[in-house]
Amino acid sequence: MDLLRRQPVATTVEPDWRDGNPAEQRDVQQVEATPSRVEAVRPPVQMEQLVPPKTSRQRTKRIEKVNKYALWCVENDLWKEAQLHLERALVQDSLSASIRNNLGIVYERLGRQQDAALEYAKAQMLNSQKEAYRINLKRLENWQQDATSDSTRSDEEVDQIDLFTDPRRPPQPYGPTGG
Amino acid sequence: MRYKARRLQVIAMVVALVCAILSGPGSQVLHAQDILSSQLRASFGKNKVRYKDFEWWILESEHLALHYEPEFHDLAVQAIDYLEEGNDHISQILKHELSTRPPIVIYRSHYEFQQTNIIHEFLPPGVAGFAEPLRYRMVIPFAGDLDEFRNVLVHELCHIFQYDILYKGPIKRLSSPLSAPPTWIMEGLAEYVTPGMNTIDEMVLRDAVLNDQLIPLEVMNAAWGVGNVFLAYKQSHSIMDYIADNYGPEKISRILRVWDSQNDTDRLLERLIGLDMAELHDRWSAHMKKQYWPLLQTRDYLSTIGEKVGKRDDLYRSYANPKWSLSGDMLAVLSTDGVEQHVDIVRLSDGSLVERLTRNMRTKRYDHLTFNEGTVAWAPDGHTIAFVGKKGPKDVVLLWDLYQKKLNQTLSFENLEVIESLAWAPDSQQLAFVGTGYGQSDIYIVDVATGGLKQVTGTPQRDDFPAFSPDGTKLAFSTKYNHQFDIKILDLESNKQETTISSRTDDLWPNWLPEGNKILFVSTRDGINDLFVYHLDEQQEYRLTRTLSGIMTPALSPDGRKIVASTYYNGRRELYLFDMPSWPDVKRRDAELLARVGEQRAPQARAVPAAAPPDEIELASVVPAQHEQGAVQTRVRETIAMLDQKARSDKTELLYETSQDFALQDGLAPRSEGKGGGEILDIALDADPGSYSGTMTRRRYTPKLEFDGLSLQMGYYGGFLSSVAWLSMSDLLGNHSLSLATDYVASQDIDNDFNFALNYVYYGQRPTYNVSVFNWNQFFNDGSRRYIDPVGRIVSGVTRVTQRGMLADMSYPLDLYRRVDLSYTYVSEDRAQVWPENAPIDISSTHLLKTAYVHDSINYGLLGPTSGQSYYVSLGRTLDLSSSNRSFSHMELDYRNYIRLGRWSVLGWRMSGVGSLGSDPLTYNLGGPAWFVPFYAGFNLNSGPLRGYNYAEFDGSRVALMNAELRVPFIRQITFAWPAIFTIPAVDGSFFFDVGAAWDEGETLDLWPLHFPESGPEPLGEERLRAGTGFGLLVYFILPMNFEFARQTDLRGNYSDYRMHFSFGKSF
Repeated sequence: MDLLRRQPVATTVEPDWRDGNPAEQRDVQQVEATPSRVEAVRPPVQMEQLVPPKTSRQRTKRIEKVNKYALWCVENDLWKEAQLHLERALVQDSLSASIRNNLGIVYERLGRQQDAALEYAKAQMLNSQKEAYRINLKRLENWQQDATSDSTRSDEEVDQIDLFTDPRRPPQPYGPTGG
Repeated sequence: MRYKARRLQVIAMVVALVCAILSGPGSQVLHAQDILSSQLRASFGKNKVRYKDFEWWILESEHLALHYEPEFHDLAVQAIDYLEEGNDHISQILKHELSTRPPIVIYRSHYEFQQTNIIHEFLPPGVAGFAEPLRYRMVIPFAGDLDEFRNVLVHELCHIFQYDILYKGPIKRLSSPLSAPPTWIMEGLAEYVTPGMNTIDEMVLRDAVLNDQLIPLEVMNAAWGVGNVFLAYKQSHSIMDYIADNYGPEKISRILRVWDSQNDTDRLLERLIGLDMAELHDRWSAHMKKQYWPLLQTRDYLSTIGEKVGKRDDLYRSYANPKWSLSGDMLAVLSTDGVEQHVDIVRLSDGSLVERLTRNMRTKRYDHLTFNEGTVAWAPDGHTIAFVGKKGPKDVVLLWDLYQKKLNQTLSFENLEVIESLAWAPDSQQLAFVGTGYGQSDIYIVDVATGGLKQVTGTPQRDDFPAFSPDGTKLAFSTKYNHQFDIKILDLESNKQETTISSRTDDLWPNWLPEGNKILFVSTRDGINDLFVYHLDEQQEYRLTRTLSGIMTPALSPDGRKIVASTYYNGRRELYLFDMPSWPDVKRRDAELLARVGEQRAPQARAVPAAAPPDEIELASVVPAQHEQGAVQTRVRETIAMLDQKARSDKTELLYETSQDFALQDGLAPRSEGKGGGEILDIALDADPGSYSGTMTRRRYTPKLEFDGLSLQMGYYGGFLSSVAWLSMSDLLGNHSLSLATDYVASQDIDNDFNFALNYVYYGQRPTYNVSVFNWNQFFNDGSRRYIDPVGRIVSGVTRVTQRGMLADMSYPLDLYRRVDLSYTYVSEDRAQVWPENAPIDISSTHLLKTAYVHDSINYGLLGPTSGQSYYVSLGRTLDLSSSNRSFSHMELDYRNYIRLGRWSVLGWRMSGVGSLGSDPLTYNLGGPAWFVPFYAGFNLNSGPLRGYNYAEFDGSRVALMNAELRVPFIRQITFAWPAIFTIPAVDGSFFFDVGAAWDEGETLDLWPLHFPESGPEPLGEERLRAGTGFGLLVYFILPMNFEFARQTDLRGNYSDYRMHFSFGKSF
């Protein structure tokens, strides 16, 4: 499944709802295994009982399912739901670049730019061949620089900012159609 | 009676009517093929599947004869106890002794109750039991709660008393001139003799009083047809209480006796209490307002402290049993929109549908959804949703995966028939639930990965609403003791349990707060369900709400900050969302609510039970460790056996002695012989002061045919006098049914004839067997034989067709929706002219074998199907055993599909084709409206609606037909006050298009162009498709009625004039 086809508006965001990229498995040793900050919204699941995927195929399928569900959540404007599922998936499999990238997108949409940048960066580290991750990070960094250097933009300028990526905009009914 | 058993009367009416119609003289020349045609035509309808071959025994006490299955003998003894106590109680109130020992049938679950043959209608989940007036039978299932079981037994027993007072004995109702008293009197009285209202009953009644929705007494009977039945019960009960309290309890005992001489409700009431219905209603409603309106001063509407989930103006959609998603943005709910029921995921913010888990009402994985308490649960993993559906004879738990949007797993459990109150463990690997099915309900935990089942509780009393603690080591649940629910906490590691929350009222629906040391629960303090929080460390409870409507099924959000709960408001169940206060605010709120009623919290005032239930029960003895592994079926059986052992040490010890004795029945002689060869048991439940201490005898049930119904009808039509008699007999359990129909047709011009049909049906097993023998004469004005009568007029001759033979049918239901029918028919037909002279015409005989596969998963509304599909394929072939045998083959296909458009509109379409091939083909008719036309004297081979044409205008050995119809709602429930008070529940409009043709072998059928409207018949040997289109009005008044206006068309702009059709019955 490739979300890129579904994003006719903003071409700068590259959520990756697909996984199993061989590059992710090659880069395992290079990755910092520190999980990203997870907002505690409920008592944590007893993680020791969560069975890690035994095979690469299982892992790929699980990641794909979570990404697909996160996309469904985003399409239904359920960003918090997407966030929690992606975070949980990361707890089980912190080496998934696509989940990190997608979590970055969700964080960005929820106004958590720092967390988003961190996830984009980790995604890029996990899979440096994926151009989308690099573009997402770069775009976010540029946007943050613009936002800090020009906090007095006109309304007209604000309107030209991509709805999906601009955290100052209120949530829109449908999700990441840009990218 | 909670469900009126009108089967016998209905059957009598229908059979008599059909017989009258079939025996009436025809006005056309027709082949005598009605018996064959009735055998050939398959019919739709869902199946009553008898999944089990029941083994019945009878336990007779002083006043009652209880029919039961030996496997739940203990429950039967308990039932006798309740019934004998109830008998004394009702006898005192009504001042009447039963004239006979009424037969009572109990089932161990609702699903087995649904298999009863005592009535043949489908018994929906809301039916708690029924009693019937003809043979005084009452039929009750055990629904998992002994208190509720007792209440239903007493309620139905009161109906038996009522019948006995009114009709003075079984069967005598047939000859009694009395009409039945209004339902509200019968049901109100039966409710009056049962223990008082619970808080849910009060919730409904209070809501009606406060929202001015009480049903006027004059129209309350209609509520049992269409309306708020539950409210009607509670209102009737309350009115009886009011009469007893204000005019004396002796008035209650006099009601039916006064009715004995005055069968007018106003006159009855005037004679009894000096008021008519309107005056009684006014006084009673004023009394109720005085009782409930003061609550407005100290209590909150839920809408003032919370926010409704869903659209406020949506009167038909309602949600129940909410369960939170991981993020708290969505809820999984049981939803209904007034037509269908589903498991849905809805958005919390506006109640809009996000995902429908049960896209179709039925799939291969389940027959239908089970909409009981807590039958949906969203796992903490965020992507598994468990819900309950019925598959075959019992419930199964279905696990639906949100990631894959499909059903992933089905869990079924041997011996557990009804599953409720699902609750996930925090690891999403274990699922707790309440299982019922062996005369008891208990809490179980299943490991969803392995299927391993563990029984958690084991008392005869109801255990309910399990909830895992946040760390998964404890399970809180409500458990009944001394007729009230307390909340216990079970330590799953040590298997020790402790009563934690106990009061003089019910404590229900425990929810753990995330910190794990507090429990949110509902308590019925002050008679209204309100929310409380119990602090486990402080051992202190705090009140969270003081609501007007009350609260049910609260669900705490995963972060512990929100609560969503059900209430009953404005006559319907609604969901509300409100905040869970922070802990300091909980205390503040509690103080404020106490102050509101002028109270103060006593320091460390732990709610102490009136009679503390036994604590610290070592469940290890109930559920040994080795039962935690292995196959599900074995495990359940073993744990039940262990449960028996435990129960011996409880107050039911003697019951189990009885059980042991009973187990010896096959090998050892009984202790002594009672009357009729029954075994005498001395049951002495001394542990319970209210127990029955008389003698009981036990014997095996043997079927004995008893009188069931009688119908007599006479008619005169066109010179023929016809009288039809119908007699029916069946055994007590309805497994064997024998009926005899006779018909005497006479005319001054012809010989008299005696007709009969003897029919036997066996319902005792999954397949239904039916055998009939018949000798039936029919007379026709034969238009092909014309004569000049003595005064010079040309008249038709009269032909008699005599049909003799037999039918043998077998119908095997594959499940609720599908069945296979197989039949053999032998009919000998003898046609002869009987007027003006006797002359034989021809003789033929037919040996017909037929099979059909029928599928019907349609949901029906009042006026017709609302969704789903149905179809059948029918094949028949005659056997050529002699030269006089008819020879033909029969093939028929009928497919119908109905699609909902919006909430009420339906687009239905149908395609059907039927053909009779061979040397002696049958003739099928086509034309006119779809269904029953009263007093039409023809045969039963009309192939369905071709509107715009006369009824049965066309015939042929082959028929093809296509129908499409759009039905749109006009009116939903309109009540008229003049000339009498009556309600029309539904009026629909329809737009339809029909196209079809009937033709014979050798004729050519031209598909295009269509037949030119009203242009007369086609040339010989040719047929064209004919089409009709128009609109109609479908009205439900007592039964569905159709007024249709149709015109012929050739689809090229040519139309005939409109003609009107009137017919009864639901649309196709």
